[in-house]
Amino acid sequence: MPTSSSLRIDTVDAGLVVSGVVDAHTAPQLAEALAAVADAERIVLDLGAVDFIDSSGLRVLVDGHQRYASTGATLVLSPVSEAVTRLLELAGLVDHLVVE
Amino acid sequence: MAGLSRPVFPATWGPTEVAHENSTATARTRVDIDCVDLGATRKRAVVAARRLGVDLQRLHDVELAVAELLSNACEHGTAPTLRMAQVEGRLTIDVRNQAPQGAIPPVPDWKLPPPTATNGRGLAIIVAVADDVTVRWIDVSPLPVVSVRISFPLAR
Repeated sequence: MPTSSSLRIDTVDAGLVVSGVVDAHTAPQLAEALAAVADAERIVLDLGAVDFIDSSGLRVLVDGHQRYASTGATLVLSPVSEAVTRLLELAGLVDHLVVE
Repeated sequence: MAGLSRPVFPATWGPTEVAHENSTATARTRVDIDCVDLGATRKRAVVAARRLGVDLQRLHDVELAVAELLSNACEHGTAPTLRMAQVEGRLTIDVRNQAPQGAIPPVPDWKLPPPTATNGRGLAIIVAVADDVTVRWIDVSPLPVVSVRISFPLAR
């Protein structure tokens, strides 16, 4: 069912470019897109145009970080928007996730 | 200041007296919740917060706190409600939901989990962005109601 939260995900060579809203409704789309990214040592998630993100989105980032780390790969968040930075700081995850 | 004080829980976690509505409210509104479209609900809440005069610098924090309150209420309970009011120069936001049938509402965990945890950050985020976080369990028929109330400053 369509909802008011719109998320756009573009696949690029380095990883994914994400824009819009990452909330309870759209986070599963991000998780799915992240799971479909081709294997690489370094996967870049461009979150520079994310206007809003909540703990549902955070869950996908933490889960993705751990899944890639377990295979020796790195999930890099670069760049990150103000909304993403704020949430990572609030959740104390700036040093846990790889933010560039 | 947000994030400096721990939330207020009942002294003993259990049903309390039915809380009377705060009669000092100078304006109040109720925001319809649609658990299937939380984005739309969030936008209505932001519009209502603006109308009630919240400090605009805190608008993003209001949206974030409301998102966490709604996710929680829609995920763990039924019949969620969202009320906002101006009370003594502050915007109060009260989200309630009925506890599931026969369930004792669990003591909410407001501390941040370890960084590796994928769940359990909602209330900690609310505590970090909002002021005066108060969690109550209200004993009403037919099902107990859990209320989380927070506040934000109004614009000067």
